[in-house]
Amino acid sequence: MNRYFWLFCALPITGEICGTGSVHAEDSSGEVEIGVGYLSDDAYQYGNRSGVNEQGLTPLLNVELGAGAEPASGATGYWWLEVERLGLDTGRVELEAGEQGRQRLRLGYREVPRYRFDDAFTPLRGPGSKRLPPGWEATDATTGGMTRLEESLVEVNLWQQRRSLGVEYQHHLDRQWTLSADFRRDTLEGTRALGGATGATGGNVRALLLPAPLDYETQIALLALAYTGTGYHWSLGYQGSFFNNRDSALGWPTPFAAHPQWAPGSGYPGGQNQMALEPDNQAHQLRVNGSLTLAGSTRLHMDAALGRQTQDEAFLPYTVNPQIDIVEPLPRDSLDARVNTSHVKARLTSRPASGLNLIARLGYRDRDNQTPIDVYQRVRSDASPQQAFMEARLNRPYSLTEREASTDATYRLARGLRLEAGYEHTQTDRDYSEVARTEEHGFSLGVRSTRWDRVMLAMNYRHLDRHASAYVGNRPLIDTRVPGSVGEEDFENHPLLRKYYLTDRDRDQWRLRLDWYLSPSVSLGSSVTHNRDDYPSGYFGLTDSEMVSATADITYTPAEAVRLTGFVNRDRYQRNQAGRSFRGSVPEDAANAERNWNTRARDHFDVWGGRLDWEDIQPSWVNGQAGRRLDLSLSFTHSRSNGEIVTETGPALDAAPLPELVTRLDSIHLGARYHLSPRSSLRLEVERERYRSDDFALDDLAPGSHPNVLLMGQSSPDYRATWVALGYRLSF
Amino acid sequence: MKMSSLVCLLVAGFLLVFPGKLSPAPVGDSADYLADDPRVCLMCHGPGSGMPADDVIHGVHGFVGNEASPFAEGQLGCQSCHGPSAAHLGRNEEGRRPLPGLVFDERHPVEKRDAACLSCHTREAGAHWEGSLHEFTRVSCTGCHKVHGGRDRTNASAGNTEQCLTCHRQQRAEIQHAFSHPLRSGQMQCTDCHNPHGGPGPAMMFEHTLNDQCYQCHAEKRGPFLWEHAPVAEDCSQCHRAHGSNHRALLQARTPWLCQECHMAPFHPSNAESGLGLPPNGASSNLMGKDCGNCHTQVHGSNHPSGSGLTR
Repeated sequence: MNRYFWLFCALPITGEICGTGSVHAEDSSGEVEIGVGYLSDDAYQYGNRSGVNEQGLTPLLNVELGAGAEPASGATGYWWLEVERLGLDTGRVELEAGEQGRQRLRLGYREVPRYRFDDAFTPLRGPGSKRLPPGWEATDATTGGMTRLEESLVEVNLWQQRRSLGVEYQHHLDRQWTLSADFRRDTLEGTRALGGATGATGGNVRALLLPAPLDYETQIALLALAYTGTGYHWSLGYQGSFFNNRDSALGWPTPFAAHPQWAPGSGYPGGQNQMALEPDNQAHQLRVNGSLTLAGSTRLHMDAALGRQTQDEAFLPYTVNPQIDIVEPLPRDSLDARVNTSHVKARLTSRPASGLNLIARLGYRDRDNQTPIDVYQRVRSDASPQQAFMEARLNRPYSLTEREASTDATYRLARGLRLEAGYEHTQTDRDYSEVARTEEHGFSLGVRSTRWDRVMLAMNYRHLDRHASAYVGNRPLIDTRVPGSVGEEDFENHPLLRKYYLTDRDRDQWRLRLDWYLSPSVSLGSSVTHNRDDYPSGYFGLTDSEMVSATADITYTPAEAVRLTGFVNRDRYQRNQAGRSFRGSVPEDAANAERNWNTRARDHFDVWGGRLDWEDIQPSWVNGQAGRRLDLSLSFTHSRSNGEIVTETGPALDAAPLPELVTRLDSIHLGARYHLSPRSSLRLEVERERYRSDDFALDDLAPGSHPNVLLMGQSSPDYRATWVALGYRLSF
Repeated sequence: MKMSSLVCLLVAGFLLVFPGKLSPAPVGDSADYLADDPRVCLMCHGPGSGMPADDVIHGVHGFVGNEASPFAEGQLGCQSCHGPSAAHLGRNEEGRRPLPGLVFDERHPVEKRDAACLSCHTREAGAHWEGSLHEFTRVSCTGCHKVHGGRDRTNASAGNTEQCLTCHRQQRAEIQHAFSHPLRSGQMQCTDCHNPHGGPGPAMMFEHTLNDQCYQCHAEKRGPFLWEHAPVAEDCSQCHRAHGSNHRALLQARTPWLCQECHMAPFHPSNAESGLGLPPNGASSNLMGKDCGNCHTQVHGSNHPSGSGLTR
């Protein structure tokens, strides 16, 4: 169905709504701009922002229409319509109609493209990657054995397009009652790269990256009734979310010849594989919130929600490969998954004395997973015999309960000087987890000063201290295995591993902000943020992480029509982690410290930019003709990120440096609007964008570069493009 | 629960100890009010004056047909918001013109300014405004909203990101990172996730949890799945950074190292990955292509009966 069909269907409805508020044709006004744009080069990823990524000319249409009763007329109806980049992949349409103070209907439609790669390759053919080309040859279970790989490759674009249509209606039934009804429908279409594991030989699974169709639809409906009384307020609402995936499974043929360890018939030719794609699901939530003035400025607020998330998509078979005998059938036809959720938030605010603000909060979150647990006797990668009962896996329906309590206070110590303090506590209980409970206590302190006429200074410090209960590293292993099939001392993850979100942690956060209003026309701003997390020493996993961010900006407004802004930002992220490389077949590895390794990963970001807006310029060539003026804007952005990963190993291991990850974006944009008359103008837009990235996981890697994984051979984005657009706008 | 009890006691303490109150808006008797508002006001604040304010009667606040409008019959015109301002016509002892009852800048406390707005806009501000981070840190209504004139662009569903980024400087830089949500292009707005008036979730989100907020657009990751990935069901930010990242899918760190922070089983999960895994030194499936995702493609959860390793 045409992407704009629903919007045009809605036009008569909006007309009806605003019609009751008396809008007259003579009250209408608007602007229509037609134009043409030219892109200098094919630049696939440039389309993410602009909706245009192919060299050549593109027609442009922007519309802004509106009508409203004259405020003094006594009528209250109005409507407006905005259309931006109509017909492009970044198009946006908004329509609103209503009566001031009584009702409002808003319709919105937008498209968000995501162009990832236009230089990926695959030997697979047909929608859903269902077949290999005629004459495909595979002489062994490696990509090297694919003797006709190169000639069989076809180009495939990896992209996705989100289309979102929303309707929001709000009706003030009277001064107290308000009814709201919202609906949104999102679709997501495209082609993505999915990794497909095919065949298993112990740890050396064969795999290929394959183009997979993407076809999602999500519908969200919200209905709410609210009442606002004197000193109190409550509302009751329902939200339903319905996700539908039009592709429940993805199948593909095995391109590798059979490995001796695979089940008969699971290699090429004849070997088939299947993956379950994201299942349809639903979520329902009842919400209630209310607030009440208890005494003077003391106010209590409560917000609660009860929800249920369900999923009952029919299971795929253990294997799609007919050559593999399935001895034990599936324990059930579908999961009948059900998660009950509960959320309660309570907040008490008070201003008990002049200059003193107090807040106390309580929070409760419960994710109660009621999904049934069963024993699943798997078939690994569609290429092994079905597992025996004692090798089977049990699913783990994770549940979680979180309780929070916090309080914050601010106190105005003197004119222009405010102190802040807070305390917080969070307790999280999990099941089927290495850690049953984590508790976190924290405090924060801050000061904010505007004592000096032109300077605002704020400093904040926050410290959090998390403690975990006993860490039982093999708990997931034991919980997912059939009782009796693993011993109490058996482990999968190394016993010294501590998962970062489940272990003790000290967190320190500093923030300093300084704003300096040098003069009425010049202001400077700066801020520095420092976050650091430390985890227990002597264990594997994340050991510490740090983030430092510094930013500065300037705003200069020499005249009402001239504004100059600039900013510079530098961020540094660092994560340090430790590990031990060990082989299951060599038991002593697990205790061998010479197999330890440490990795330091640093990401540096430098971003700076500026913008000049200059309106109402009287160019010399107009010779004082009334209405002829020029608006100019000039902006530029430079963004560079570097990722550096350094691994150091113990004497039993070797390591070599990794290439740096680099992304660089330079963009400059010039916009000019020349007003020919009060009702017409010409617009010129010129944008030059340069994007370059280096990624060792992609660059210079042909599809057959890895013996066990068939890649797609795409390179990381690298483009430069110039966009020029010329438009004529007519106002009426 | 001990902590909850402590906070309950604290709450009760507030009520008992501090029965204070704050006048929400300037109130005066009728003599304090200027007659013939807005005509008299516009004598000095009309078009072409040094401080024009006439555009208010042409904007949303000027609708006389809306009985809640400041300029509707029975309302006080400019003084509906600016308070009793009769004294503003005269001069004080220092020979200066006294301020109107309320002006919307630093010369009057933010609580009083906001109270004037909230006297009519409680519904629009929503139930979460009081005690929200913005209210607590004294971000006033007029700090973001344009009261006089035509359409308030802050209310528009497109174009309000610039407003947010004037204060949120770190986020302004983060959306320029190599991977980010499409905020830089204006296809998404901060208000798609965050409610500037406060919300039940962290960081003033509309939903109660970060995950529920993410599911608004990424419902396919909600499940529930047969084989769940524990941190996914708990908190998306365990692995993802919402505003910008140097790594695909806005990951907190590069894979496979991000995965290895929690997975260190024998053989490939515990490997020390380095340049030895890249051509010409070698070829590691943990580094090339989608690294861990070459096989563990359903990292958010799998519904395949044989998919316990999140491979299918």
